[in-house]
Amino acid sequence: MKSAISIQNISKKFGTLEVLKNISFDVPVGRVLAIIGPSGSGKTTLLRCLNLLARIDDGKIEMNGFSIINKPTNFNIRVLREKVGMVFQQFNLWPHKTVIENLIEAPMLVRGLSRSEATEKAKIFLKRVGLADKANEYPSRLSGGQQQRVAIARALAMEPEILLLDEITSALDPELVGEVLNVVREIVAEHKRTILLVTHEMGFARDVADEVIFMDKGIIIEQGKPDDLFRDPKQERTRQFLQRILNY
Amino acid sequence: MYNWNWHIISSYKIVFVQGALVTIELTFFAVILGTVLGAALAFLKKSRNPMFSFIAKVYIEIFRAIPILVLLIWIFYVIPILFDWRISAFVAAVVALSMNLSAFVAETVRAGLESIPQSQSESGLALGMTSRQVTAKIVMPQAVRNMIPNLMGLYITELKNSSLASIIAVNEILHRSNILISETFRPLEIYTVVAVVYLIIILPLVYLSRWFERRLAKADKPIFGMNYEISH
Repeated sequence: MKSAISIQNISKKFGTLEVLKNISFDVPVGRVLAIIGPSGSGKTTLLRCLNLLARIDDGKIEMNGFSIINKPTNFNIRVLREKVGMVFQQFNLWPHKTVIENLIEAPMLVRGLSRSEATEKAKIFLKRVGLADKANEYPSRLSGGQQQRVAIARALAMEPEILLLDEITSALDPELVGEVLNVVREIVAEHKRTILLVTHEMGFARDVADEVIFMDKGIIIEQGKPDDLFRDPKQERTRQFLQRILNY
Repeated sequence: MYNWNWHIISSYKIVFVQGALVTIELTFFAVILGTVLGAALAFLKKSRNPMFSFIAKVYIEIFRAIPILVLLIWIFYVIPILFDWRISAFVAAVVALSMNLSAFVAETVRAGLESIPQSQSESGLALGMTSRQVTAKIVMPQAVRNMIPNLMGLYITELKNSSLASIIAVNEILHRSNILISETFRPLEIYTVVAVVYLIIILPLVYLSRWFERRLAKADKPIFGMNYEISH
């Protein structure tokens, strides 16, 4: 099967700290990969490397047949980012712009859409995350869950082929997690995009992922189908981690 | 008891009005030039090119340290001798005032840019925007908002500093008043009026800047549940 993301032996250091050590994996087109692991295991750094907010020191990343080594040009970086959407833990909406302005900015600047085209499309995406009525609000007027749904819509508005979700429910109050996960479930159900998600929601990962990777201290400890990995982990460290998390 | 003679003031009203206009004109040009130069310096200082950032750093250090009066005299008297290049007192004053102001504006702009968390730029970059687009559309609009109270303070100070230009005979209000005093021998009345004229110009500006500050404080609420941290 064709790979949307293919990662070969990438490593990344912050000073002397090795955050990613020789990581390799593939994600087939249209599939969902969940990455789990304790904090500090390098999950977020891995996602940031994939859309080049962080540079890899070694190895090779191929996304949609587009390959990146450690010194990409500015042009290549933008071509890649156009196709790869990212949603952040802290939403990172732009507070000085309304919801709809948050959504149309990049399509206008990057894809060259006119304001009216971009607005038309943005409304469709806002509707899909259930926030059509909030188009003209400022982000500060929204709850955390609503803000994160806007952030998802903003990423979708670029119609990316690959979606990177970085602990998108970690900054939310528990009662707001569900509404955000439901939006992601719907995106997954379309089978249109390849999704890579870092999450602490084990039940969710088990539900939506086709494949799960458990990472610790910058290496992949275990990879497998969610049912296998969650029910019957092969590695002791995976077992310990899952026990600690699920016993809460 | 001193015998006040206010009559003299009303007969020379026009002198104060013209002086005040020159003060405003001088401040206006110095503010425009100083702000443009200062903003350019802030970006130079942030530049990845070590040469550019070094030049900006040195400039800012030097012109924050030199007293405006010294700078004024230096530009007006020394430059013509060194370079045989005559400039009017007004131009010399605009240059000196704006060079001084630009160093402070540069620091304000830099602080304003740095007040916007990196995560704001990253979400723009992640969508494929260029760093120039991110600066123009995401960072600057928010940063300018944070800079306004500080800038207004600098501009008000600049208006007061413009009185220093009287030392090189720029026809602003203080210099004209000094001439008037030498003709009328009424320093108390005249200096009192000068002080009042400055108050009349500056107080509305102070209130305007407070009004701005309040308005911005209302519009720029922190985003709910967002603490601007980047996780790794």
